[in-house]
Amino acid sequence: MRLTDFWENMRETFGEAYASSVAEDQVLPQLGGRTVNQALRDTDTKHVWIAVCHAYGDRVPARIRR
Amino acid sequence: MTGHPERVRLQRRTVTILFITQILGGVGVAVGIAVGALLLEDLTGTSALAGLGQSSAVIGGALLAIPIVRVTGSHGRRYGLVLAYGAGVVGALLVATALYLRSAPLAFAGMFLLGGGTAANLQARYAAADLALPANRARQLSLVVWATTIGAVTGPSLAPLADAALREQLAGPRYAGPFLASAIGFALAAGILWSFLRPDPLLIARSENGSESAPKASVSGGLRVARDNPTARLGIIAVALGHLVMVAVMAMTPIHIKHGMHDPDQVTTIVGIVLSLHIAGMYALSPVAGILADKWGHRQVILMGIGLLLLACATAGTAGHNHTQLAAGLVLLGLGWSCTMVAGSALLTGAVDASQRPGVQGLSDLVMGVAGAFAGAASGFVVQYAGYPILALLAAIVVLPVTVLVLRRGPIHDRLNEEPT
Repeated sequence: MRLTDFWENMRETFGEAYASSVAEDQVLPQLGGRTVNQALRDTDTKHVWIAVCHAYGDRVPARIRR
Repeated sequence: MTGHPERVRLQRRTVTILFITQILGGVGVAVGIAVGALLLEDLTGTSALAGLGQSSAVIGGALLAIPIVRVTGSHGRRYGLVLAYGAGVVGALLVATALYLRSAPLAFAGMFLLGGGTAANLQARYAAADLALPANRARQLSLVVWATTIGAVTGPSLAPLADAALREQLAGPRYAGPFLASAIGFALAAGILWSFLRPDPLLIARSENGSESAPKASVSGGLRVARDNPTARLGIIAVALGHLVMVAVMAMTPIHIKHGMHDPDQVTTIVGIVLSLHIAGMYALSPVAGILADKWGHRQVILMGIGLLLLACATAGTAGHNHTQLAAGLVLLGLGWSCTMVAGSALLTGAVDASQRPGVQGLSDLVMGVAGAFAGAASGFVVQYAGYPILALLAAIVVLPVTVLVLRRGPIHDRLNEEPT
């Protein structure tokens, strides 16, 4: 998964403003207690996206949910 | 794991139990506070010391966060909340005893421990967030805040009933009845939590993260976490400054009303109406703040809260003795508080790992309590020397730094966002 696609998914799920806040502010247990931004430094984008899907469940549109 | 039906069921059960105990605890707090100042005036013979009873309870509540964090960190929410309500029970019984013995120092000591009830009512919202999914954490937390409404509204009207019951049935001293009612409310809340809040939501959340062993939690540990985590810091600051502004303006509103009127009975009626509307603003719509925070984002709702607080200061500060405008200002003040409280608490909870939460959450309640105590004490001086409009202006200025923090983003996000892969 390309990083641009990842952010597109994030924006589609949360909207422009909240997407960046989710990535910066929320630690996810699926990412070992790290935020999306922290995880993106050294983790595969697809893995990070799957973690977001797990954490936010139904909020993620079915079309892009993994 | 996330959408596991068992976990969903456990979370629903946890929130239901907390909802019930929050009503009982809320009644306990409100009943005691309703007559706290009156009984201290009665015992000490001066109204100057009467206000200190309230400060004693606020400071007690804030400082009790320190042992509560320790116990919560090592044994879970159940032990932490029961300890806090337990302190409230002892405090309420001490105040009642002080009335039998006519001892003012004992009454102050009792008021200090009574703060444990407030501390428990505050910490309970975090227990509702432990097993909540990130997608609806703010809403779950706000439900527990909302439950406080019921206690806050019914408590003051129960006070005279409890007072009359004890005096007439058992020939007890005046004001002791409401404190016995407080003790019963806290004891029931503690008993229900002790019996039913298991498995413990915090311990489950921690085990899911693979940190089974209990880390040593402390407020100073929370301080270290907050130092390195700007998001958690923003949550703490939003909650504390929202509280500071709310307490400062609210505390002096009765005095402001009194200064413009001559009939003391009318003052009591107007103050009662304005403060009831304010409390409704604080709690009744808190689930809306929670739902919006989950939908739009915590930062957005904190910004909305700041906007409401500024509007509240402008409305109340320029109301003069127009009581309708003053009431509108106080409702806005309550709504603004609700937004910063709910969104700030959810933001700081989501910003740290489950094992670090008790320390950061306890720190937040401690800072909030100190901010409230400071606001309560300082507002009197400001009104005395500069007047109510200046108090509202100063309060408005206080919230501005939060706006800067909310709007400031870490550089890392922008870099990652732009970087093509």
